[in-house]
Amino acid sequence: VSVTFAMTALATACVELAVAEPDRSKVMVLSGAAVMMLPPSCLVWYFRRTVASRSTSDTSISHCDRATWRTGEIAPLTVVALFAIFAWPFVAEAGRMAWFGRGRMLEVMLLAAMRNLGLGLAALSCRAAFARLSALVSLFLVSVSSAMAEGIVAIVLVTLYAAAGCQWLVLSYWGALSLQRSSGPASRFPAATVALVLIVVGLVFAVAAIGPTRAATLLAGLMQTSGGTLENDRDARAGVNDGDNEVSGSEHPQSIGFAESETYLETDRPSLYDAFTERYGEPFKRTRQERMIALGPQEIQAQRERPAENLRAGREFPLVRQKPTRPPKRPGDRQAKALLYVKGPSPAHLALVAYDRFDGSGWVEEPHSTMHCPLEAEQGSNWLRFDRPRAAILAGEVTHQIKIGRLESSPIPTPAHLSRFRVGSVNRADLFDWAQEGILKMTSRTVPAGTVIDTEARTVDSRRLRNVFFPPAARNVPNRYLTDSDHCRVDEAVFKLSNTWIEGLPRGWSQVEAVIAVLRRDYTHDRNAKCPADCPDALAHFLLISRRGPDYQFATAAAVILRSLGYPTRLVSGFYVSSERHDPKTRHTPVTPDDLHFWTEVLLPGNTWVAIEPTPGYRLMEPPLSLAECISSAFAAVSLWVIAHRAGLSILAIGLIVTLRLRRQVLDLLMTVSWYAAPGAVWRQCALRTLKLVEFRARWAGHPRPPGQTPARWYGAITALGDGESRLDLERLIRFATWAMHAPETADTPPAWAERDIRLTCRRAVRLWTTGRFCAVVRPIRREGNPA
Amino acid sequence: MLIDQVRRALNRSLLGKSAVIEHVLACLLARGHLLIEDLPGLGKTTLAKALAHVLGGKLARVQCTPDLLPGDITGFRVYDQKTREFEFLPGPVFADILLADEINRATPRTQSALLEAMAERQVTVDSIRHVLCDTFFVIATQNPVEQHGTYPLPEAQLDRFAMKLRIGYPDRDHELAMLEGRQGSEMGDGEPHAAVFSPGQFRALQDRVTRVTVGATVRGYLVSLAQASRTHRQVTLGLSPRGVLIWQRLAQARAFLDARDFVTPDDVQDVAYPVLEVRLGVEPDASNRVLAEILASVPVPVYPRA
Repeated sequence: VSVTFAMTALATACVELAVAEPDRSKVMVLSGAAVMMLPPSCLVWYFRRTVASRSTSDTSISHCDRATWRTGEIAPLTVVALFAIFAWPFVAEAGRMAWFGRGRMLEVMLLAAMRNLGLGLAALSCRAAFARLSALVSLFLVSVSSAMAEGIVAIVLVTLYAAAGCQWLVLSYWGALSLQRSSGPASRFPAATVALVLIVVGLVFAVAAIGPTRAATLLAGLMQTSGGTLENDRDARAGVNDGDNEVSGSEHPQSIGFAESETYLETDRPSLYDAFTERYGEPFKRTRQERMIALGPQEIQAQRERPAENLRAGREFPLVRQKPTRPPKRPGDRQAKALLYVKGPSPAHLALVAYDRFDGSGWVEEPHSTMHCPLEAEQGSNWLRFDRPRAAILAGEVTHQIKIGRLESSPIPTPAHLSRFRVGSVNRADLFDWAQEGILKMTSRTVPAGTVIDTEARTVDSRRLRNVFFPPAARNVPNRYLTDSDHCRVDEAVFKLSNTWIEGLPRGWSQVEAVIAVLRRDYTHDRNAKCPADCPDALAHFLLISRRGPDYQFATAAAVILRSLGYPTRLVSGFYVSSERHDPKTRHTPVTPDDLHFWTEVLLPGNTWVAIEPTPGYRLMEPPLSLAECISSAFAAVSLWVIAHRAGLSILAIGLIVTLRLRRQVLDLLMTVSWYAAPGAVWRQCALRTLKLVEFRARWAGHPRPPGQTPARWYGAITALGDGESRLDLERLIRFATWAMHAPETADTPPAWAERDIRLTCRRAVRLWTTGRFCAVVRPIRREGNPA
Repeated sequence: MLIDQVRRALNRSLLGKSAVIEHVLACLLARGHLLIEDLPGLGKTTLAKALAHVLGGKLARVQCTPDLLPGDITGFRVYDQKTREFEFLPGPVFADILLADEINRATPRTQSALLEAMAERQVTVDSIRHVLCDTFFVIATQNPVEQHGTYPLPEAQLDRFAMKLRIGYPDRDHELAMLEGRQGSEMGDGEPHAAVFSPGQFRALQDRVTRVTVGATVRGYLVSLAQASRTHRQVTLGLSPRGVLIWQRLAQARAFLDARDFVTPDDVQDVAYPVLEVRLGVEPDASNRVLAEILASVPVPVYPRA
């Protein structure tokens, strides 16, 4: 006991040394471990005293006493207590995560749990099985922590442990020797042990083969290796060198995988507007009227200079565009790298540009927001936090990691309703500002390729939106978000049409939902649809004539119709992170130019923009469900399904219950029917089959014949209790079956029996010796005990 | 049938022991020898005498003591002064049934002389071979309680016995019946039975036993049982091939007694205990449990293999 305890103590010290923060002094760590050893040592002392008082000898625990101790039942409370101390670090970790927001590594938790288990087992090590387990746990702890800890103290501890371990092995060997004097029970095939080993091996293989990659990676992380598993992961970020996809950005910024690279490079890669052209085609060039005017010399000078490029607000997005033309793919082209890589829940909308003015044929980008961006840097990290009140419609938080790939833009593609974010290691709040309201940008520069943006954003709870009160006339709302009669001429027919969509609905979010629902239901999303070049009103053409079009037509229709109903809206373009593109291997979603998307946002009274998705096939991000919500929604779904299929399910359930309850009768019935169908061609078969059926019935009645017993002996005990006729039938049946089985082929039927009589006897036996009869006959036998 | 007459006669002289009598008959028909391990006064001699009577043969009895010499069993040559020749005086082995009482009291030398006679059915005295009776049958007894001054039979010699039986005390009813039946008669073995067999008839029956069919499944069952006895952990000496042969013959005899011309696993199990008890190296008190374990470990062939 004491050696086991010493081993566990040394292992505890090793673990404490291994997981301690580097700046703590070793004396403090070791004294902490010593304090930890106090309660188990008290327990050991207590147990030893209890056992010693039980034993007659006044010396320490005698051998036979240990034997009785070792064979005693394990109290369930002991098991529960051991499990509790094992699970405690994990529970504490959950609390710590909830309280402080950051936790410790999983390995540390596991080591702490194992240490607790080892201490608990050591405290109970008066029992030999616990002592052995405790030694095993301490071996695990020492081997893991010796790989983690360093320094002279660790070496000393491991050496001491090795010495104690040798001592323990010697002692346990001697203990086993003296135990073997008594003859054990007859050896049996260790079926349970073999099955357990097989199950464990199978589980390990199953986890390795089909289990979640995370579990497998974690398990692999716990294995001690000499470095390298010969595995080559192209997305590796740990181990020997980075994977091929993780080449550092010295050559190409696009060649960087999901690594947080510090290398910022500028490239002349296509910007968002080039992506627009690639995706949606080029806008029609306005044929401008040319006229000649005379210029002064200064103006001529200005003409010769390179015109300044307008990268700020005021750019336009005309709705009338040419059909996009894609360059023919040459064979051998590699698939284009994504513009962005997004890690986190999908679908998500990453806004980049907002448009506010609509002149009937095109949108004009919203001017830069003049509002102050309420950002503040968090202490001690690169996170930047928004300091603004939380809107009532917002629900739980989602986190995303967005890595900039080929995209070159100063607005930062982030989800809406950000609460905090981090762009690489930039920790200055003044480097960020609103591009347009709700759309973040880096001031005076683009976000370099390879930057990883971490975001935490709130989601919108669609149920709460229905309670939002929209005042009859939008006040304090800039005119540009509403129908502006100066610029926009909404077709009368469109106006009428939209009014029919919301007929009978009160003002509020339900009207917005109705408009979206009609657009999503009655209109077809067609990426290649276009309206004719001479179309005067693309919106009316889409809504009234073609009823199909690309996403910007949907977004425009929603925005304009909602504006005509008095809701302030704007058009937003950006990226749609599609859940269908999610790559489970790398666990991120690449965003390509194909994911460019237009949607609409509605301004709520509290000055919050809320995205709506009018295009069929696209979805908004849903708020993350809490565990209770998950369970309740799953429960609700299951209940709905059950209610929908109640008739079939109840029939199935009744059938199952009846079959389970009457499984023996059902089997009996099936076998009896099959016996009647084919009782055997010759009498020998018939007799054997009948005996088999009768034996099955005896088994179902709870009186199966042991394989080493002959039927005559086994059923002799039963037939002795049966009445004359039935008893005789069973005896005869057994006799016939034995005859059929063992008599030489040349022998005919048993003497004085014709084949017809044998068949008759078989039939009578089947009819008389039913399961119920066996039950009735066997019951008194079973009450008395085994008849054998 | 003749056998039924024998059965009836024996049951009359040994009341309430029909199972033992069945075993004795099987042993007789299988041409094996019998070892009875029991206390004095339980009817060993009565059984032997009754057997000798019904078989129409001669009974000889040897009370084994440490000073018994081999010649006292086999017989010896004496010089006849009249004829001036050596004359052979046959010993008790030249009877049809030999009752060797308390065989473990004889010296090993005497024991081995008797056992040679049992195995070979012949004795050699002064280099002259004397063939014994064709239906020669030995009933040896030993006292399980008293071990002082005995020479326990070695395993090799035990193997020559076909089976070991215990007669045991009769139950109350039969004991009462026995008292009632002997009220008028003097102490002894009761009235002698008439001989059932004419000379040679019993030998013919023994030949018929050898022709009882043993199916392949039953042979397989026997071999499995023998192997199980050899691999059982608490058996120090497993069943020998000679033992398996005798077991098969006894099962045949058993089937014959049951008026069948084929052997079933029931026959094999019926004679299993006496056959195994005499030749397996098992602790005496664990014997029954071990034998039951061996029998239970081998599945009985009840259905043809699919």
